[in-house]
Amino acid sequence: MRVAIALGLTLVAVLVGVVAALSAERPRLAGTNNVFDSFPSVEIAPGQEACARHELVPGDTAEVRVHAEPPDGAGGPITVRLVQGGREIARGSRPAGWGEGSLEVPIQPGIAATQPDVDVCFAHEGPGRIILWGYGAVDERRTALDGQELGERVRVSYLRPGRESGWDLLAAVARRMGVGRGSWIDGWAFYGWLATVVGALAVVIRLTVRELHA
Amino acid sequence: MRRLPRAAWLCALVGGLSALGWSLLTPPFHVPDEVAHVAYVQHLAETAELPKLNGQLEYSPEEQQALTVTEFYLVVGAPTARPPWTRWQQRGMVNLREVPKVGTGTAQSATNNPPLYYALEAVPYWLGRGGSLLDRLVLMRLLSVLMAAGTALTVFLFLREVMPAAPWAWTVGGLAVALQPLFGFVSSGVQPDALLALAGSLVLLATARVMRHGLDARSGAALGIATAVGALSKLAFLGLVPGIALAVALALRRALAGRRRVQGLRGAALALGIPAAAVAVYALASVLVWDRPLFGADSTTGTNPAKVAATEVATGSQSGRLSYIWQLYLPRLPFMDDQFTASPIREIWVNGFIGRFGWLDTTWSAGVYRAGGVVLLGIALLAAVGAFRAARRGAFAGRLGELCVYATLVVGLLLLIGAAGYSARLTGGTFEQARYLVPLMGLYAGIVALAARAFGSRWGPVAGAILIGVAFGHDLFAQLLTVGRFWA
Repeated sequence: MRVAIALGLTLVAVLVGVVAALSAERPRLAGTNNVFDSFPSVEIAPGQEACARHELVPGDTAEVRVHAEPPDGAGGPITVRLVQGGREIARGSRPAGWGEGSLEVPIQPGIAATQPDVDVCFAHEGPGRIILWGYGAVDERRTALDGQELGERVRVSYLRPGRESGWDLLAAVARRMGVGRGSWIDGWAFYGWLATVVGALAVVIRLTVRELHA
Repeated sequence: MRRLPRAAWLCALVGGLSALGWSLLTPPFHVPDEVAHVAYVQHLAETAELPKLNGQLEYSPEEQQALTVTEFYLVVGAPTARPPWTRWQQRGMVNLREVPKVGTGTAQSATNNPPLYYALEAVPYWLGRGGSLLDRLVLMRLLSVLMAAGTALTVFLFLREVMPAAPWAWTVGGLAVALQPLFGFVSSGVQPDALLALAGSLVLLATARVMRHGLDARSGAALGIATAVGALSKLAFLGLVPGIALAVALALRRALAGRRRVQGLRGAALALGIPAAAVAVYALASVLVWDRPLFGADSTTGTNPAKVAATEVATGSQSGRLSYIWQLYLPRLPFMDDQFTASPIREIWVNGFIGRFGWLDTTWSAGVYRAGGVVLLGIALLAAVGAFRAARRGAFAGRLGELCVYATLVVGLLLLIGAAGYSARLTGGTFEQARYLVPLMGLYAGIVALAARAFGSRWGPVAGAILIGVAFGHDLFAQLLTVGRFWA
């Protein structure tokens, strides 16, 4: 009995920790272009527009995030446009006053389903310059400045709407975990993982209660 | 031979489930060095030849294709990057054009590893021939999962040998290993450390039986086979050889002094002869058939541990090596040059054992490592109390030789890791990782079991239950951390 109580209390503490960790709300990723944001990459002067070309914008995107730097003081207003096949599919803006670091720009309308081959364009009217961070381009997905292709690529991340907990994200994680796993695992990777956790817990409880006695 | 207890099988089941969970949540190739190990298996399975270092860097076209579509090189080592996870990207991975499965024959850092693990992995590779490389990877990972289950089982049996008076402690130690997240993670991928862990546990079990029941043909053969498996799994196993040799020497001395001379000699011959023959065959085949170096390179850095042991590195020094190895595990002495910017005891061994996942790019916060370090220190102190109480009960009477064997196993492995690490340091690399200690998981289980036994026979099972609960929580949180890193 003592063993069962001790194990039970310990596992309850674990469960409380899991619930607390999964309940924390914060902005969540819809996706990212995985470009290393290692270096100042593209400088945008007032009146110019830099476009990260051929981007894959994941579904459930409500904000665009870049690593940006206003070297001439606080950042001025910035506009983001998402253009696909010459047609603007979303737009957003961020008022002046932002500093160096992650810059999030909400867009309207949100992108419900994944959209391929989108130009994600950043423009501002000043004051001062804006520098977007990224890395050298390795394929045709390059950043263009006022239509002129550069040898650089800007790191762009896409955020889901609002702030979400781990619980809110479960369905998305379940979908995601099955991608790129081959056709045999496919969509059941998440459920298989969950089953191993539950199964291991069940065996641990049974084994501990049965075997641990003086 | 005693029947295997049901609890042993259940510990194995837990170890298997944990490793299986890790294999499902970890994206393809994101177990350390899995890229190189898959290349080795593929080349062996497709050509019946071992890979060779040839100055080439690219793997087979099929593997390169898989690495590209999974954006491996963009995600590995970059904690803010994510593997492809949209259905649009998934569609791009289906119906890929057929590309050759054979490349130039390099497996990069894994190339000169012994072939046993890869030969075993060739079986699931071939069973999955009808699928893509990612499908075959799923099956190959399952073999490592089975090895993890085997390790948990073997560890349980090792504790049964060394702690016969406390059956409940066998389950505590067995589950501590089965649920250790670093062990589960490493054993979830195409990674010879999975076989190395199993071989190390088999050696511990066989050594315990030799030391406690005497050396004869059966126990000698078991030890010899375990040693052969280890020697042909990964060269890091060589660190255990001094301890194995000491065990055989002590057991043989006892046999010769008693009435079991013939059995002892037979046992010693098998314990030493089986691995010697296996290594000799491998060495001859390496030179005469596969045209490979006589002693291969370590799988992680290409460092040759055998050469390191035998020769002095041109730009290093023996004193530098000794100082480096000392500081890797012990506090620096006043007369030593500081070889590390941060405490390796904390950064490499303690924090590494608490867990770094992916290619060391998935880490806890500093506060978690501090708390985990306190827990590990507590377990170590309790284990010392447990050992003291066991000594007072006379549990170690007549066991000095056996304890020396375990100490030699540990020291041998640590020295080998340190020597290889020093060589890597001279070429600008970093070698040491906590996962290289997986051959000693049985001793970790013993430490946890001793910690529980510190509370005596009445409260020890209660303490054991708490330790098991903590171990489960550790594994679960580690898995959630990794899910968050890759999929959230």
